[in-house]
Amino acid sequence: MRKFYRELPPLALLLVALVVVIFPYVWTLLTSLKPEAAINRPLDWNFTPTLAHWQRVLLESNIPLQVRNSALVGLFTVGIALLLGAPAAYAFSRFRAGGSSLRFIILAAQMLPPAVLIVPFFLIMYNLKLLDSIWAVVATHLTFALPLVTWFLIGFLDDVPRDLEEQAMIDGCTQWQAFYKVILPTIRPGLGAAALFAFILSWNDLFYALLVTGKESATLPVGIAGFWTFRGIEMGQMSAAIILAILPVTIASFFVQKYLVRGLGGGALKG
Amino acid sequence: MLRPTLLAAIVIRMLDAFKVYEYVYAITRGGPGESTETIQYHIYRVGFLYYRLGEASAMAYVLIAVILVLVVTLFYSLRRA
Repeated sequence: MRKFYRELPPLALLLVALVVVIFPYVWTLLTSLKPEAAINRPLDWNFTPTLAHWQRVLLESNIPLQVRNSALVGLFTVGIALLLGAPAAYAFSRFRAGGSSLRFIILAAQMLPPAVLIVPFFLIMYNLKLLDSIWAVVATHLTFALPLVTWFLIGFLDDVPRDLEEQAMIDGCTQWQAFYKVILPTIRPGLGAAALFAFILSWNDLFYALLVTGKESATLPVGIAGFWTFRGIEMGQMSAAIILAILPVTIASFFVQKYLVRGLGGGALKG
Repeated sequence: MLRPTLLAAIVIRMLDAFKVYEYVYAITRGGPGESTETIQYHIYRVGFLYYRLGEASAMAYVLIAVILVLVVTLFYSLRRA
């Protein structure tokens, strides 16, 4: 019994933290099911749930198109980032490219605020007539996705012992084949984690997507922001769209959480 | 001064604080007048709402200088940690 009393304060703290974290999600879910009159009374549990907001968001608005755009942008961003980032990480890890400082400069590129790059990007996209297309958003998202993936994979590649590719080359592979056939399958969980992390960042990005897309290629955060109309904020529909935006990312994060700590250490953690 | 790891953590969070744009855009749109604007939101407003791209570029350049100081501090502390 005494053990229970000793564990009570941490348990209470955990409960408070849980409530604080879960509350916005629960509130958003409830708001998306309330009729408009009840939205103005946030803590009122006594309402008749309605599916009108979900119906309007899923059937009558541009949200499905924007979900498709977001998914495409995320896919292309992650694909190009992996394609370019894995060999780059290999060069950093095995050949010590750039000495001891270039990898930190790449990390700095990922920490840059987007506002620094948006004016030149806007003008370039305008002159290339790419302003309302998926590729503009992919190009801008690559500015933070590519350094992130490279940094992640440097950490994972440092954990792979050099004997692996030496044995592969003794068995007759070229350097490139050793990388492609032996090393890459070994770090497959790292590739998956880096890809998921970059996808999550690309999915959530509002700044680049807002300024570089138009009506055709708007992504989901832009769509959610678009519910702030001149008539007022359409809370119910916005909440439904928010739930739609949160769901894939939450589910994906569950699968990748244990790799996030390992990857962010940059190879400093062992085992 | 501070222990290097603590310094690294603080500088990383400061770098994240410079990137605050979505919160301002969603909650107050810069607030009454311009009182709750962050630097990123200000660059967005001056560059794309008032369309003074030159001024926005100048602000972005100053922002880079500030970020550079922070990044150099971060790398110094990461090397030490």
